[in-house]
Amino acid sequence: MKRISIAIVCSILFFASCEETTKKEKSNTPVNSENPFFAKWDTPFGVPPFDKIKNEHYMPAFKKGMEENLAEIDAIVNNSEAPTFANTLEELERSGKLLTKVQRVFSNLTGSNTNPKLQELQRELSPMLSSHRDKITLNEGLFNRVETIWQARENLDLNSEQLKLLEYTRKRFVRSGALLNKEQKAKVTEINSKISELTTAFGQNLLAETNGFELILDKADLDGLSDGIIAAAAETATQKMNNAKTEEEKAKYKDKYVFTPHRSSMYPFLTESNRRDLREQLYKSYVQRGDNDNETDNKEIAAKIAKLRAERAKLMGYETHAHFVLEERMLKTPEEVYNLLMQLWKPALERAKVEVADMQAVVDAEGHDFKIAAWDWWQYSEKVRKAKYDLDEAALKPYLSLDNVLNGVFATTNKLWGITFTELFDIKTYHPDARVWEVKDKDGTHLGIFIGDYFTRSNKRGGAWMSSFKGQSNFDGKERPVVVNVCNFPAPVGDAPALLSFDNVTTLFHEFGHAMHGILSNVNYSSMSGTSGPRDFTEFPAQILEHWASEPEILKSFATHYKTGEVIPDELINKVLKASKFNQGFANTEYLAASLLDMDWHTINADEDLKDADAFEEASMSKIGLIGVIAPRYRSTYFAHIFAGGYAAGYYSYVHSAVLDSDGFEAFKETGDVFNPELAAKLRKHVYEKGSTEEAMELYKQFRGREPKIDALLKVRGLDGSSD
Amino acid sequence: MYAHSEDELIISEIEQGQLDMQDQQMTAEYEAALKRLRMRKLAAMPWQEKFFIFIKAGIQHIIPKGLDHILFVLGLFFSSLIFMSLLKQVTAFTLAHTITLALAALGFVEIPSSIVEPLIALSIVWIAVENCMFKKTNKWRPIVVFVFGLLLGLGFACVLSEYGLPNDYFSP
Repeated sequence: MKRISIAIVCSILFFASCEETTKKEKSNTPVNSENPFFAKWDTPFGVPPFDKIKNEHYMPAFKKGMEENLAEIDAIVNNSEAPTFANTLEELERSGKLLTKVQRVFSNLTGSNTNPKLQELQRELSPMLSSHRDKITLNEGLFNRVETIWQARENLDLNSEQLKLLEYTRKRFVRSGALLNKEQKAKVTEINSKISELTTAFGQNLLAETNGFELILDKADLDGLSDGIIAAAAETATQKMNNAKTEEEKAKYKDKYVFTPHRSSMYPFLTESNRRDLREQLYKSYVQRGDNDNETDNKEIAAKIAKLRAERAKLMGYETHAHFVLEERMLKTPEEVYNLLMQLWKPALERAKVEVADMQAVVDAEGHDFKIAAWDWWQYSEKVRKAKYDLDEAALKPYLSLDNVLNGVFATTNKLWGITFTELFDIKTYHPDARVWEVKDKDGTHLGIFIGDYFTRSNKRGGAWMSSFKGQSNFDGKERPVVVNVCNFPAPVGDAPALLSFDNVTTLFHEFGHAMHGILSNVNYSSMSGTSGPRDFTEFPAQILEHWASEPEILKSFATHYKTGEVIPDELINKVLKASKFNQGFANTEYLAASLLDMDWHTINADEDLKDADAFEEASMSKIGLIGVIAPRYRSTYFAHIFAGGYAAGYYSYVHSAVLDSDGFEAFKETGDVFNPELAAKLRKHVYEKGSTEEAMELYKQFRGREPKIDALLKVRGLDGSSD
Repeated sequence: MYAHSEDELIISEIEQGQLDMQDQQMTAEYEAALKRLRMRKLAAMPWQEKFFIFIKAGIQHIIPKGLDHILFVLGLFFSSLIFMSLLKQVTAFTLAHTITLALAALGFVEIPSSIVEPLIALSIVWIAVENCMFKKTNKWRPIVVFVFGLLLGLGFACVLSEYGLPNDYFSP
């Protein structure tokens, strides 16, 4: 009896101590804490106080931010003093602080660490924000002040950066129709709202069409597929079954395997499946998206959008929509763009034809009797790759642990510019995988904060990008930036380190290049800092850094085996370099075809007679002689970049930046030292520090000493006839 | 604001499908990331700080986090106060506890805590019930204690691995 009572006392003591800890936790959570967006952030380096920001803080901060912003604009417009650069342009630069603060955090987290509540807010906020922007760009009083200053600019003693800010600001109003008369303005507004309806419809249709097709397979149809791919297809089937509403629908997916026209599902199937008939089915479902003559057809919508854009451009005084877009780019006219694309087109197409012949040889050797078709490309190029460029990713990965690669990119930028990186552990971020480094200049001064968020997770968008939580400016005191890189590398399993593929390494260097563009930025006005430049230029600082990743000397300095510490062998490096030239004919041809299609769509006249997208596309592609086994990277009916996103007359940008980065890196190679200090200093001073404070072509010329040439790019991509 | 613009997020949804956010998965990912963070922090510390951290963790894992172990040992005391009997039981417990702790920490065995923890609770109840039912200590008692010791060692290893024990910190 005595014993029992002791045991009882003990257990009471035990449970009592549990109780105490739960109580403590409860009292630690603040009941209704203050909205952190309304407070001054006393965090180190101005990193947002992520641990204090909750879902419910965004909407009130956005509302107040927009309100404050409009009040500030009113104050500028109603200023009784005559307009000056200081009381108009600089005040404009100062306005909207709260809105920017909340918007940066929100748009970052909806991409990298979202939740259902944030997604809902995103839908709610999108129209509110665009109407807010309109209220400013269509504000006549504000434009009149800016225009007055613009007209008097030559007598105002402005420096070149101030002139540029004035020019950009004025352009933003003019391009929204500020110089038009009332009638024209009404017409532009009408066209804008039509275009916005149509682009939304285009995107929705495309999403419906992509989700609408599924290839439902039995176990017997899986010939050739590897275990991982089969497991993923079974998982898709299970998900569809769980989401199905009726029993009948559920039965459709029971014990089946599902593939869809989403790229992540389609490419592995096209590569591995031995069933030619099924490959054809899936491939056709992909290229026919939006072109099925049903209620989600995009043919007419695409044509309508292009015509409306042409009409708007004409109203605004431009020849075509492409002229309107390119005015703000590094390449200034459609002629320059066509000229660039056509210079690359021939070598790419020639190379693609060689690749087709290589693949046909494999088909014939296998004893098959068919001509290579578009849906055979992935399967047979993989066979050619294995024979000619055999690079075993599994053998390469142990040399490429994330920490090694990070050390590699830190060392590269350190050798170039003397900057250093220190990881900080006491700064709270939005997710434990988001790591923080302080970046310091050669002399130890603080440059900025770099956040690296590298692993994939279920609430992060696919792909890789750079963004910032805080901009840079030297106006009203020095503000140093907080930038972030977000990637989707596979997370490590258990206690092993995260191992990357070579593709991942390139991506990491690329995004890091964008981050450097943000961190090294050294301009006065935040709106022209970092990566704010024209689209066909901003990829340059990112892409040029990729070249260092594949320099043997640098690879050897960081790629050591995570278990043995052995340095990556030369043989493996050679294979990596050779593999980078694989399938370039195809990749460049499909990309250039899409870029040319984009340009064709946006150089039409407003009164052009065109009914739908199919005929237009066919004419456009036969003009350049595209071969039937390759489709443009995006066909018109699913070219979301140009018909739902902001890439109209801009898809060429990727290759233009590639011309710049190959040509730019060639400058280092020419000196025989990839870390040539003089060139590195020029690159920093004229490119990474300058943001968009000067014309992009001028910046490039100051660094390179001349205009860019395409030769280096042809060599890098194996399009100069040197690949076998 | 984006070097890769927000438009690309719309495009990404079309190309890759919508995000499939499941609470359970998100929690598991978060836990794994937390552990990675702790490991990184630990790896970056100077050794003195690391030493201090582990001493502190060692104490915390006995009080209050190791209350189950204390209850178990108390259970042994409640059964008898004869020195030899106690010595046998406590030695059996220590031995067993050390074996599984080492095995689990080195990664040779891995049993989820959802299985181990309830069994530990059961073992405490067992000892308590045994104490109440029998006047004299059972001669199998040291063996029973040994088996339970194995179990408690596993439990301790679970806590330790959640805390994050770096592979290269084992004394040679």
